[in-house]
Amino acid sequence: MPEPAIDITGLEFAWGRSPTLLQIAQLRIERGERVFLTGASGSGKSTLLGLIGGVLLPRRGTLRLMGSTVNALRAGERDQFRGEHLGFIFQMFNLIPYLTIIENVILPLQFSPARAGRLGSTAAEDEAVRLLVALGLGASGFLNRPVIELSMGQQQRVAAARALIGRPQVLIADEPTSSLDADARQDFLRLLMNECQESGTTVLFVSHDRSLSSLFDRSLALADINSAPLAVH
Amino acid sequence: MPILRLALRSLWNRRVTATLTVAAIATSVALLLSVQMLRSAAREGFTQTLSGADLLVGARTGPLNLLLYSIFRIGDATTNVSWATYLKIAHHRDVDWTIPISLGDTHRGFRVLGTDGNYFLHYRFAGTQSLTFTAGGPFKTLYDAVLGSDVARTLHYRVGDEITLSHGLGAVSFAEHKDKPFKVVGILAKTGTPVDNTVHVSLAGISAMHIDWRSGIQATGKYRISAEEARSKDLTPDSITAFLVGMRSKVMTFTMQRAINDYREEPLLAVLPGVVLDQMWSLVGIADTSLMIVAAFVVLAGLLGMLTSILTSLNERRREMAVLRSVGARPHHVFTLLVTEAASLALIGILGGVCLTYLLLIGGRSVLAQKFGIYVPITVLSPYDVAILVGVLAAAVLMGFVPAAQAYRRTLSDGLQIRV
Repeated sequence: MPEPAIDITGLEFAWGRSPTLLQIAQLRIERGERVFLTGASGSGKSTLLGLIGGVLLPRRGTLRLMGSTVNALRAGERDQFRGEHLGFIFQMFNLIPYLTIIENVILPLQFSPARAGRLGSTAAEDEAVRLLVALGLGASGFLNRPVIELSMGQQQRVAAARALIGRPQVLIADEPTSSLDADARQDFLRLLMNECQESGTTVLFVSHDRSLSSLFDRSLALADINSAPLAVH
Repeated sequence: MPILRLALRSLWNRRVTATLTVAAIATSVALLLSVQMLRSAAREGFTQTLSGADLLVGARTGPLNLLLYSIFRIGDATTNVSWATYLKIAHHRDVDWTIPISLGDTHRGFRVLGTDGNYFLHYRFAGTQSLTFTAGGPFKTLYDAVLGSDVARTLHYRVGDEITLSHGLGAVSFAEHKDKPFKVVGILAKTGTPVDNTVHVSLAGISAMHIDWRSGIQATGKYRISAEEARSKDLTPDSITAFLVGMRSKVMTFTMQRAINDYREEPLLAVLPGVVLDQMWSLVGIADTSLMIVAAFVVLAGLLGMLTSILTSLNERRREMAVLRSVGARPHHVFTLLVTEAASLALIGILGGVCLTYLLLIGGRSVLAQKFGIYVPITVLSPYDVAILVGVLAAAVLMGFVPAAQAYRRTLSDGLQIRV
């Protein structure tokens, strides 16, 4: 049995000297597992993602990703680790306005040679096009459009292609569908899940919309795993 | 290095503001560079007001004083050099040529200089340039006059016009040499030196004007000598104001200078014109230094404009930084990105400024020479110019540290949160 994708033990986090915000005794997400995490705003979701992403450090406990203890790495190593193993989709404004669609998608490869190496002999641009087509952005002439002209749904699909390029082990999606209407949301999720299933990517999907939870293997509420005394319930 | 490409793409995305910023930097750099080039050309022009002569000789006084009254025609000589002494030095075996200078009269505010044909042959300015005529030629007969370009232009004289010279140095003189009018036979090209403001006549012409004058008053009645009668008189001058010396061999210059300064028969002073001109520039050159300071401040203003435009863009780019962080960019990448943008803007601005300077130089060079007598050579940038430009670039990079540091701090506190 390989190491779990995410393995959190006795983790505690607080901003500076303020009271503990996050206290997680145990959180284990297996490889390839697709987990839905809900939580009210201000409950520490973003903080948890910051910890997993390695931009925040816990006060106590360990955070292991794919067998590596991330919180023991140095800042530069954490940045490198994030670039190599994690893909992110945010709620909105995912794209860099001055880059083309393709350049946005292949951006992670420029910061992580390891991730670029996983493409093997496939050209980065070809893989980007493959992902975009798989995510439903195959229309001819589409790729030449400036990213600022894309609809919100199209932007999120480009962001998903960027998060998945170079096969990162874990996809972290932070409310990626909250800016989409109901139809676009279903469509987007279906395609995203298909692609993750095919590549065996672990998914940690954060949202407050519980109606989406049926698409996932497991559903968690942050309030249930966070035992910090001041946590929002 | 993806950062450089990102920086350039980001600038291209904001190309309107970026172009304006570059234009502001280019204009200010062109100003700085032009001032720098003009000031070295002006210095060159000034210190080479008189470039061919090895020695300037006059009655004993201070070196600056001698230069002021004999070359710049500012102030007046208190004592003259006797003609006999002049001849003795002029005929010395080490002396190649001499140019006599006799001052004291004016024409409508312009100084009259008595000299001989050597003046047109040996006078040099701005390096090796000799005097050239835009009309006519050197004086040949007793009552011929050659005008400097400003004299002709200001008073609208042409070759063939008759002019009356005045006794003494006032702009409005009551003692005129009306009885001995001079005819304009030549007009000199612009030199950017005091030659432009001078009316040149022969030494004999000066003597003829004053032949019937005693103690500053013209004789009356039968003692008066007409212009025609004067032609037959001995017109050898008694004395001259000063003279220039060209040596056969430069190495003899110092020996000759010492010999003249130690001359027992008459108290004389010989100076090296270039040395005294250099001393004088340190007095009058303050104006161009202040111009340079002003230009430097204009460059600073251009760079501050760049700083403003980058700082204003920072808020809307906050989420861009979070996205870059999420794909593995380190905080120092964000820092480098912003410094690179500042450096690129400045570099393009500086290159534009250099091009602009050369365009201005090529376009304005003949006007500068004709109107102001400043000869600006078109050369490659001097090491000093390059040092200035590197300084501007360094200043821009340092300024880029301000938005970069701000973005760096925000990047650390924002982490992966997209702040709207």
